[in-house]
Amino acid sequence: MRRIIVAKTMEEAYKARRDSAGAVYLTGGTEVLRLGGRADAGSTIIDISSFLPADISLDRDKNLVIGAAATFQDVIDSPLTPEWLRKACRYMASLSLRMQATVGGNIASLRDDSYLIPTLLAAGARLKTYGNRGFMEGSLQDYVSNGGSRYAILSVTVDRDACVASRRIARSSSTHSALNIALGRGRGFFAALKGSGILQGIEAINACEPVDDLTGSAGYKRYIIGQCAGLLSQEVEE
Amino acid sequence: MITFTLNGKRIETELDKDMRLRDALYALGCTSVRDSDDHEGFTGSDIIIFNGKPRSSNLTLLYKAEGAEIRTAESLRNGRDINWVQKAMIRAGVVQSAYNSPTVALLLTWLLENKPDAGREDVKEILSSVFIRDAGYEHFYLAVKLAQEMARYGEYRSAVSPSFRENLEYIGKPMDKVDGVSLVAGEKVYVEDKVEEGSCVLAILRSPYAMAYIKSIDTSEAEALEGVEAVITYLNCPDIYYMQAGQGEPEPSPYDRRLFNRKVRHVGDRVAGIVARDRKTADRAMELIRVEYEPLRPVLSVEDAMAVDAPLVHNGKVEYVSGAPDDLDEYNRNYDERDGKVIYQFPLHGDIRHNIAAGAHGGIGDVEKAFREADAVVEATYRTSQVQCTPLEPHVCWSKLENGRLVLHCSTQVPYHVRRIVAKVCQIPENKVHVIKERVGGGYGSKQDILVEDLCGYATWLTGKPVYFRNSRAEEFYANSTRHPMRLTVKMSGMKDGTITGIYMDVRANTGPYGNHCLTVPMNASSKTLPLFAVQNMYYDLNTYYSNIPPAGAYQGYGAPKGYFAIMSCMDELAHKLGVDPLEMALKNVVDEGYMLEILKGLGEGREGAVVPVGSCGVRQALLKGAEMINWGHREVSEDPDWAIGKGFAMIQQGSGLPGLDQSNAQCKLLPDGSIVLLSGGADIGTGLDTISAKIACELLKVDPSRVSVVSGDTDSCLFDTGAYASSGTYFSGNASLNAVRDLRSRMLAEAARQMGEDASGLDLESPGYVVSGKTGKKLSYQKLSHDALAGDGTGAIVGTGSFATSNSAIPYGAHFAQVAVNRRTGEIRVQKFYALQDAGTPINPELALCQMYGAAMKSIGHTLYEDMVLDKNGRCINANFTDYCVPMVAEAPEDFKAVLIDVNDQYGPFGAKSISEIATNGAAPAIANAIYDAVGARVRSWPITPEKILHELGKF
Repeated sequence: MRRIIVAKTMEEAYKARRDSAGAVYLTGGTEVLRLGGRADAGSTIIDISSFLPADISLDRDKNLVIGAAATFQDVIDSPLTPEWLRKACRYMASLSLRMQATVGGNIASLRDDSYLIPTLLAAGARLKTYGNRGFMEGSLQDYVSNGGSRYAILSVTVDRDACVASRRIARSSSTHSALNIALGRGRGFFAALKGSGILQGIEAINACEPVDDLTGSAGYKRYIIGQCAGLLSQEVEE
Repeated sequence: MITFTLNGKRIETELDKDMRLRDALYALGCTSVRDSDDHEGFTGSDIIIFNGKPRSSNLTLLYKAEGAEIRTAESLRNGRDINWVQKAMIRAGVVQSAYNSPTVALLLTWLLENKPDAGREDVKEILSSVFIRDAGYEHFYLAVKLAQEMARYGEYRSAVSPSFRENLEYIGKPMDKVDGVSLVAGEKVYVEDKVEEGSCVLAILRSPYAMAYIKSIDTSEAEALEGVEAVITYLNCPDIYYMQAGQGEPEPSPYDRRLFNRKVRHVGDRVAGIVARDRKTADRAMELIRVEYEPLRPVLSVEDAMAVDAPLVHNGKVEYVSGAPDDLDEYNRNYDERDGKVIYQFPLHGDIRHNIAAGAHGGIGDVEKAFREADAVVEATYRTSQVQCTPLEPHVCWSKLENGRLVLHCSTQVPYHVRRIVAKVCQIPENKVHVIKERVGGGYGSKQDILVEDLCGYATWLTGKPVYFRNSRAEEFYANSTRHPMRLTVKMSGMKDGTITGIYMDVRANTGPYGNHCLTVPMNASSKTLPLFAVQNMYYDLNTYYSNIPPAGAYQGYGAPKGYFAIMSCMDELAHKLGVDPLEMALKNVVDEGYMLEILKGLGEGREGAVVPVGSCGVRQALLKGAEMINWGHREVSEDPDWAIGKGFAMIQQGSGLPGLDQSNAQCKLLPDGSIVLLSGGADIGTGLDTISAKIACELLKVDPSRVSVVSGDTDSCLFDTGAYASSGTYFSGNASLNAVRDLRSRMLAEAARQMGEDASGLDLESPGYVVSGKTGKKLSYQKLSHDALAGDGTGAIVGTGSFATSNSAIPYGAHFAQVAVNRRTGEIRVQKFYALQDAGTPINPELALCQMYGAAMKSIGHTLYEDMVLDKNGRCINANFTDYCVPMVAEAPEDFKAVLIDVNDQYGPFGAKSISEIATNGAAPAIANAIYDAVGARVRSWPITPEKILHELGKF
């Protein structure tokens, strides 16, 4: 049987997680509760959805602030959302999943076929998180570099006026992507490469040795990275 | 205690708060909320409306429902009345096997409640949440349009399909499917809904090895566990050899297995069956079974199987029921007892000492001479991958004992074969077995095989307990029937004027561990393709190899989709080599009505085939109309220079059942009040076969559909039928219903003549249910006719019986056209247009026929571009789930998708009907492959045609 803790505050949630080895945070459920997810029988689930922000708003500098519990569809439906971010949210093909999956959950999972992370990195996204030092703010880039998982994400902030282009390469709409790559003007390339992880910067992408897997061979991935990079450069220039 | 509102009613439940909401809702009676993917979050069968928004109930735990407002499809029904969206779905023909139809109805209702003027893109967004395998996606747009029309005008204004045969009232006209309401409402119509509380579960310990001997197995601890009723292994199962293909007896497949075998032959093969009081106990018992294996080097491909030093998948004793070769003793001199037996019912050209399960060889004319004298010859090898049927409802069975008999509730295409095989395994006569075919939540061929009923039935017979078994989705991938992977080499010769002079096909099929359909599936690669060509010189070599991949078996189309991929691609290659338009080549070499099909002589499923002339044939019309629709010969140019556009086509045929092998029977009864019950042996698997039977009765007996009920697929109530496979339903079961109704009609007239004191020849039937005298004008109602016949001085019940067996073929023909856009830089493929044109004779249910064409074409697009079971070097399937396996969703549907029925009247089918759906799996692969070549010059000769393969062909990396 699963142990369920419905936390009322971030502090309570963090303490529960610290005290329960292997415990997982739960918001939308599309990642944690799905087949092969981490919420198997016997696990401890800490539901943080009751206090996690889900609103989408602008801060004083007109940046877009997305509550971590906002769903993909919330982001798409918000009039504040720039089109490049809507596009990334639509990479999740299923409408019902988009209505359930949260932005924070997708980032926290750090998947190598992440729908959002490359685009958010390319937009210079910043995160508000909670961890062992309490509430913190920092870049998504650092969060990813540090492996992320020790922190709970509270919100994501992006520059609405960022110029971002992205491409998702997958055999079909609902399967894993071989490559999700984004380019932000002035920020460079970021990619989620299946089998390799999240890659930040063109040097990291070029240095990566792709692996053969269900989504394609290493040679194919290497080729497609080059092509997509070219197409994205063209798009951002235009 | 969790409290929430369910469909407007307050619910308080003590169910475990950590259980999945889907399971809780099902336990609370919401049977419309299904699970097709073991909470993968892919298929959408479990979607509910949760606090006003769609949500996966499988990805939600019950505690989350506290205080929530939940709607399921049960909310759409008011008493016996379903809502306007559900009615529109039935009218549009999309309610077929319907496992997730209630969910789709709920989603579309939610859409229209929130956006009454929803357009195509809105509907597409909704459909993005659900996987639909049976009807395709196209007519869901029509369903929404119909629902909007009903809401706006109080009537439907759009036509759902063309109508055929003006002189008939029901045949060839759209009519709501007879089981449509129960299916779309989410009634308890599937096997899982019948399972009684307290039933035991059956769990199966499966092999981790692709091939191994079981050196020892110790089940003592498992058997001692409280709650375990039995553990069945090769040591204690019946010593009965059989095979799991549901085919007519004697079968053209070897009996090469028992319930459990000492040698396991694929990852996932049965090692032990545990019957326990619940799943938890069964799982614990499974952990307590100790097995020691002797692993063997696996055989994973045709090439592996053909190798000189290939390990033998079957090296047991070979026996023949008839036609044993003279050297059989010598052949068996060194057999290995641990391998068991392989028993052929009659010779199939098998040679298990070379891993060959079956073979066939033959032809007409002189192909070598044709090749020598031709202006051009092409030879190419095409490969097809292993693909999964993926019915939304997995394989499932619930069995119990009742009055000393074994009763099985099944999701099957072949109830009578289930009865025979289960009786054989249990060593009891068939009268002791009662099979009830419930509604089938998707079959597509895989439920032609008796994959779970054999063991589930035996478990009940052994223990006396009711037993429930349901495959997990992963088990569906590695312990279920799949499409045979094949390697097909085609050599084709032609002249400069476009005449094809010779065709040679070398078909090498991989049947996996057991020989289900090992002859018939590969044979279809030739027997359903070569007869389409009016070519004088044709030859085929077919060999099917055993291996250690997951089992292969029947899948809609059998071997024909693979044969067509090879032969129509090769024809395209030959046309290009000769500088001839492929369409001109097709038109020049396709058969016409009356052409004598000499090639069929050797293609008779293990016996001599009948040489017959081509009957009704709409292929030429389909080719010409399709070419016009797609503007054949005109080069489309994309505005984006990275994208190139190309066109391709395939001409196709299939069959309508197996003339000379199949038989169907039906009974039609006049009830005391003059209404009708038709008992059909046919198995309606969602395709509308029961509706065909009902329409036939309505048409001939001149009664309203409300006065006719159809009972089918119950082996106690109904007469024998070989089953729903090989496109037999309409032709065989339909003709049996027709003959039963005719018989009833003549008996009604005879009884009426007696009661009216007139000659039967002067009487006729008249709507709405009268016998009328042409001479006197007197009328006798069916009610009085039946009542008096059943009275104390009457002559007895009026019952008609019909049987159908034939040597005549009713072959459906067609042509599929594709227009694709291919990105030269990324290899991405978009199917811009797909036009499926088919001659189904008289389409009895035209709207259902169109949906079956859409559904089958989507399956075909799936195996062409996306689907592929991938095995590691040890034979383990590494993508045994929907996301990794890659089925096509609505986003993959062609942008412009049309199904067109070519009007041809057949001389043998009921009211001129032929089969419809299987043939529609044949066209996509060659049409799309040829279109890709036309677009970018890349000739990809293997399924699935991925961007990577295109780029590779283009030399990009």
